[in-house]
Amino acid sequence: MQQSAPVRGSSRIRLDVDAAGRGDRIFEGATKAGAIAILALLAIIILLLLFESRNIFGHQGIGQFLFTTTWDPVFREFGVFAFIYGTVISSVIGLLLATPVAVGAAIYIVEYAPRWLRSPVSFTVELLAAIPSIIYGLWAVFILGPVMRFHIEPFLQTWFGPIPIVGNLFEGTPIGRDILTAGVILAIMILPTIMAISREVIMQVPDTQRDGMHALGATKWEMIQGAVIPYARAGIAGAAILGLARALGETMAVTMVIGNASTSITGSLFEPGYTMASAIANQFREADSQVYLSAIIAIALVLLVIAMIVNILARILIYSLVGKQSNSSRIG
Amino acid sequence: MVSRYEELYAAAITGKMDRRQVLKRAFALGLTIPAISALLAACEDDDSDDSEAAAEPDSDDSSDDAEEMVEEDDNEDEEGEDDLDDPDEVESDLDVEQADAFLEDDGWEYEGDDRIEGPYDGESDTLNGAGATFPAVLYSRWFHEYEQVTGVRVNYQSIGSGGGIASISDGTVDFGATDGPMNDEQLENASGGNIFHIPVAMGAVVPTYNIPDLDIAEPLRFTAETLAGIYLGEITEWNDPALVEDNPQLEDIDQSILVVHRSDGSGTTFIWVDYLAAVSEEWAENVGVGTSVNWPTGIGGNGNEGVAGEVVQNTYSIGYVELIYALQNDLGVGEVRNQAGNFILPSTSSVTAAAAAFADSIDPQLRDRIVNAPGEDSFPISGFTWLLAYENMDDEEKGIALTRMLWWCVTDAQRWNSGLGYARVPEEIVDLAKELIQDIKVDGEPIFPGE
Repeated sequence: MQQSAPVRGSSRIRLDVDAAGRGDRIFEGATKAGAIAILALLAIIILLLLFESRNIFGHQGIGQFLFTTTWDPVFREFGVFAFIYGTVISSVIGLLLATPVAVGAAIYIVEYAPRWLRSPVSFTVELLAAIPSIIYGLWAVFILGPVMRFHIEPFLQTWFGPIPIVGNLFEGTPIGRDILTAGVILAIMILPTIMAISREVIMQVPDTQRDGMHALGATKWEMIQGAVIPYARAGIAGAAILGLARALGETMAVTMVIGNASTSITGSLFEPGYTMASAIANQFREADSQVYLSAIIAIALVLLVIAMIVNILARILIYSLVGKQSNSSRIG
Repeated sequence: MVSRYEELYAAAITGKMDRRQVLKRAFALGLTIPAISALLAACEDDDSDDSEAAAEPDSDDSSDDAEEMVEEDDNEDEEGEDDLDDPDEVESDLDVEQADAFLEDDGWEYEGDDRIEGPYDGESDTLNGAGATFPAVLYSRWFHEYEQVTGVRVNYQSIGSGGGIASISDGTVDFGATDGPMNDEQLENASGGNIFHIPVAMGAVVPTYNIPDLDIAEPLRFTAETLAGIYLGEITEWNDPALVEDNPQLEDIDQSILVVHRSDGSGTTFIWVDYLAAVSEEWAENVGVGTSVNWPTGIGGNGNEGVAGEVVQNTYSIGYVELIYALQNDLGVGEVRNQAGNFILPSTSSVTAAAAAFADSIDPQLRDRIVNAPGEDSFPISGFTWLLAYENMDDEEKGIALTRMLWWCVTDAQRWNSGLGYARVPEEIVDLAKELIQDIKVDGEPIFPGE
């Protein structure tokens, strides 16, 4: 079509350009196809979930589905709020516990650790990310659960139980199969993700920034506080959000320790809970009616929507953080 | 491997190794979860200042328990290795060892003269089925034997009862399998018309508990009222008067009950709640019957092993598992009072007795559930597991092969049931099942080639 366009210049060069142009277009087409395929895949997933879950929204209102806590397959009442609650709270606990440790470890590795120690520490932490979640689950069942039940949870109850409001978080009999235990195992599982990305981000901070702070007479802590963290802030936030996204979707390990019960929402972290991913994994196989099956698929839809909301919020957060920074920062 | 396990156990109980080391070794040895639980319980036993001394008084028992499980592991290993060379020999090997280890093999043989023998002209040489996981062990044994007998290869995928019902409804398999009967809605939705339920084996669901203060040789006695009360969250203490009445040994156990149920949808749950609903109006009205229900209380474990794991780990807990699982793993199980007022310890024979007690009153379609059976010796929490087949088939070859296979399943095949921990279907019910099989048609004509 454009092969013979006169703007290409002399005929000899045009030949080369033509050949190159064809390859270019093929390559462009291939990459475009890849990009479109990804978008199409997402669209197909969403459409399929919408289609397969249509029965439940004919059966009961969307409000009842989203905002009630009764999940009763026998009497066909499906309310996912307890699952949403369990998913969000356990993930947030995981995030709150993991982020400080991960960022601290990342700062240590980049700013403090002797050079010979950096690789082994990074490698070890990243190795954690390669452990299958069923292994984390088994470890949580046999080690973490009893430790939580007999040591950590009674300790929390003794010291924080009497405090009003905060004490409500630690009510009930510790059994080690609860939202808190699930949060702790999630924290351990998302730690390597947050650590590895934070480390990369902190390493991207230009040395000129550090040298500038040092030249002004700053101590190491002041340098990190004043130059490194503000510069890497957006990237660290992004790392935390990626960790949160993994926590939201984590299924196996959480299912093994969260207790899989959702009778009520009491606000206590010592109550057994239920996450959306666990509910799908537990109940999909034996769902014995159309409505029940479509209710479970609707959980998947809600989980997808919540994951998307988290990602959008993350984008907004990162843009707002980047906005506050100097224009030179492009991290995140 | 047994000796290594014993070493490890000894190290755990004498405190030579701490929990972490024990766990590491246990994983390296590839032990099963219940075996690891037993080991960890042994470790806990050692730091006796802690309240967590889960397995304290029955340490003897848990060692037996664990040894047996290791033996079982061995079996599996051998099976895996030898399978390549000589499957037949392994099968018989397995049978003997398993029977020796923990199960009653009563030498039962089918004595009718209507046995399925040899191949049959004009029958399809493969059949495909899918469904329940609970009888999968039995089915894989059966279909292996069946291929020796007739040359017909039967492929069975254990994808769960829900999946089995869905597959037969779609017509993607020749037969389905389920632990809970299809309900009317499901029957209406089946693409190929009416579906027959052929009961081929029976199972029971048994209460299992963990109270370290009690002697395991003296099982707790449960009644319909106490089990329903515990699972409704109304009986919350082990020394509740209702429990103490039948179990004086509970009087001093001032501990709250941790209730464990299945978190996944399951035929086991179906039988359990079916029983609770049959004996408790409150249960029937508020919770109902299904493969998963809205539990009023308790925590959920995934699968039999998940429930058993929670019970072993958490002292003063109660759970429910399939009879075969409890037998294989030597879990402490409770007796349950039946309709006749006798406390019955679950076994394959008390389960068969339960079905036999229903023989006169059962619906000829055989979809009935048989919980809370009458009869002196019936274990009340029992149920069938069914194979599902269409009444009207369109492929003659498949029809001949399927009806012959079903016939074999309710006759000759029954001799493997008790050795593998399943109860036999009683003769009275088998006769009714045969009538259904003879009723399977192709083009409106009965297709079963027997007399």
